[in-house]
Amino acid sequence: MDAVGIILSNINDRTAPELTYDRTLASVHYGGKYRLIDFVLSSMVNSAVTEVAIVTKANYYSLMNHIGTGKEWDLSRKMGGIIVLPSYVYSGRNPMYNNRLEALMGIEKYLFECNEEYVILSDGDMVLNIDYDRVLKHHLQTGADITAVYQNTTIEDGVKATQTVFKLDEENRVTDIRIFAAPKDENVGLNTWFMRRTYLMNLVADAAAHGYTSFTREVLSPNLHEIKVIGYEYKGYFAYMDSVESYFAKNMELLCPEVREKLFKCPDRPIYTSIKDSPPTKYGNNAKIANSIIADGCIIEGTVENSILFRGVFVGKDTVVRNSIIMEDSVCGENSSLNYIVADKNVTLRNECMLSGQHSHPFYIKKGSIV
Amino acid sequence: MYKKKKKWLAMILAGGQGSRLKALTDNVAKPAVSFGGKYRIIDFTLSNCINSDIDTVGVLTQYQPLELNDYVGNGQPWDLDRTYGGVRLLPPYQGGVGGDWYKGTANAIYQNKNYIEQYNPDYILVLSGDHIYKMNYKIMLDYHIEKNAAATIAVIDVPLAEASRFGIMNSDENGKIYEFEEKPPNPKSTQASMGVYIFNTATLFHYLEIDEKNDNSDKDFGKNIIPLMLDSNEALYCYKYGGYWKDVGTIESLWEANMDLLGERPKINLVDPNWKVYSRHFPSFPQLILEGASISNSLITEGCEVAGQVNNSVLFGGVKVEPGAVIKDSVIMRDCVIKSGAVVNYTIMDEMTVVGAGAKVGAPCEDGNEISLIPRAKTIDENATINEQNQLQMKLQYE
Repeated sequence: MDAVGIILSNINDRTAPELTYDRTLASVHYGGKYRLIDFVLSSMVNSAVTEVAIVTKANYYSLMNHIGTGKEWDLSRKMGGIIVLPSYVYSGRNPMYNNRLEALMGIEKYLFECNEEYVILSDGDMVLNIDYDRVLKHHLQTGADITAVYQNTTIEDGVKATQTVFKLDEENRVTDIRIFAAPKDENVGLNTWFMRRTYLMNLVADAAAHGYTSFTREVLSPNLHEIKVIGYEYKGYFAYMDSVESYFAKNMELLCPEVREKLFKCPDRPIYTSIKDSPPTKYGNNAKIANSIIADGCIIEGTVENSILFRGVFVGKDTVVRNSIIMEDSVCGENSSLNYIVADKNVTLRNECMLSGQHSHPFYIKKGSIV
Repeated sequence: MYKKKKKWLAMILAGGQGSRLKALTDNVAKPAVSFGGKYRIIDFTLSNCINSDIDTVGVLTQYQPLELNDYVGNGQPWDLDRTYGGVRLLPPYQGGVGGDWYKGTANAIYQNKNYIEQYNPDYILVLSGDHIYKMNYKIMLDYHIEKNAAATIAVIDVPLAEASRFGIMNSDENGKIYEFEEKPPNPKSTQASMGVYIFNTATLFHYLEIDEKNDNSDKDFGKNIIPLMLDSNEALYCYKYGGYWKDVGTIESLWEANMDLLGERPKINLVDPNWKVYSRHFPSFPQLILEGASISNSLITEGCEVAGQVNNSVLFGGVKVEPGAVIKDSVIMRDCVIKSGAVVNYTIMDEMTVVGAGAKVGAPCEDGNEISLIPRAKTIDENATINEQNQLQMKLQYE
């Protein structure tokens, strides 16, 4: 596919401060072995995109470490491949960007030097499995200036208004963009924009000349009558996490077979992630497991129900883990009881721990904590 | 072409057919046989190399090399994709003055003299690609240098009763070998050769040249080269290895080695951050343990979906165990499906086999039965019973 992928890794970090304390939102763990960026990255690779730039600003050690040379996504290439573009990557106006537009201004030179005809501009913090080839086809058919990917869903009551919503006319042209969604709003934008590379460069140059600071508010919204922004409806599974609560809920959705089917069983569209060379998981003599997702490298001696265990988790004897998410290399000692817990990476829960959250308020334990 | 000089390199003998593994090696060479949930046998040797800081490895292939070649590839999973060195697959080839199949282990090394000379190594480590063990060859090399040996052979203590199945090294108290006996009926010691040799390069080629000219030789390290060096009064030392080592040459020993991964204190520890065993990975979802599953003392790998009962077993990636199915004392390889109500007992099942609902495969281990072996990509009918007899038929049909 003749497109370069531009992935923004920490545009939305502020929305979930607990999870992004030590990482970008794009490198937050998900689903037992993945990180959020795997989904957009794998989608791009599966659509034969061979050049991807990840734009990042700060706190990106975990992201860099995860991506490595890009081998796992087959993006360790001599021509193209993956590149991480941190702030200060070029001398420019405002290297420490605060939003999408400033981020793009910071990589103007990169955009100029690419050879691809098109750009896929996407945030790296969503869970989806999208075929960008279809987006391209749709883009050509409609003759759009910009194709904006959305999902026809309704904003639920009580969720944070961190997503944009589109108003569409009968030809699917975007006629209005609301930056702060309200409950009952439909057609949620997936922060994925498809256009010609030169078109994006012109937009960015013009915005820079006018001193604009917002891509959606100042570049697109006021000009929707001129810029032909056409919506492309994505019908697959989509999840966006902007709080510990939604993180917990969206992870737990994976226990539902239909969700797994939609996200992971698309033919020829596997989700790639970094390889840890963990051995298979070992279940002890008294292990009791039900309805759980368990990654490799775990050692389980106790009981695990309705939970997600990441790679290298240990669950000791007589310990009961229920309705919880235990991230990489965490240790749950013996004789403990855990319910509605989100334990971040490398957490040690010593023997005889009794911890519980609530369905709507999971108890979050920070990375590296010893309880 | 620039070639970096290497202190040492490893040559892995991976051309063996492994006919005693029966149907498991119909399509693949023995080193490519699956083991331990996500590994191939050769992963252990390759991981030993990289963990011992050996970055130049030749893999000598001959029998059914397609899958092995695919698997080893450019060596990336073992960090052996290098600009200088790395892994190289070495099949037999046609040369200016003839060319031939590898006639024996020694001949295989001899035919790849050019490959070895490119790196001008001081020492050559000769390994087998079909043993399960975790060994630091660096310590062995230090020992070899300290003893000023011409060759060092790693040995392991075996029970006296089994010693006559191995090549036995008889040595003095300093570890200097004075006699080598291949499968002796009355062994004098219990030091069995592990098939791990370190040679000084020049010395090795001196004796390979001599052996090559001998038409009566089997061109084998154990049978020819080692005795020849002993007869020539070379300093051969044995290096005693105390860890776990297993030749998985038979169905029984392959099953045993898989079972050695289980238990509270497994004989082979795969969970060691300082000595990882690397393998080639494929994208698959983590394992899914569903409602009604019952698992004890088992290894299960990503991509599995388990809703039935699994005891004392090793499940490879992508295996599906439907509700009510029972797997006991078995090794189930990649992408097998065990349908509901089926019972699998004391069996090694090769990849992609489907066991129909209610079928019975194998007979309990406790009653002194033999291990059942189900070849690759078979379909076992609903409610069928696979016993020793029709297992034989299956094998014939397969051939």
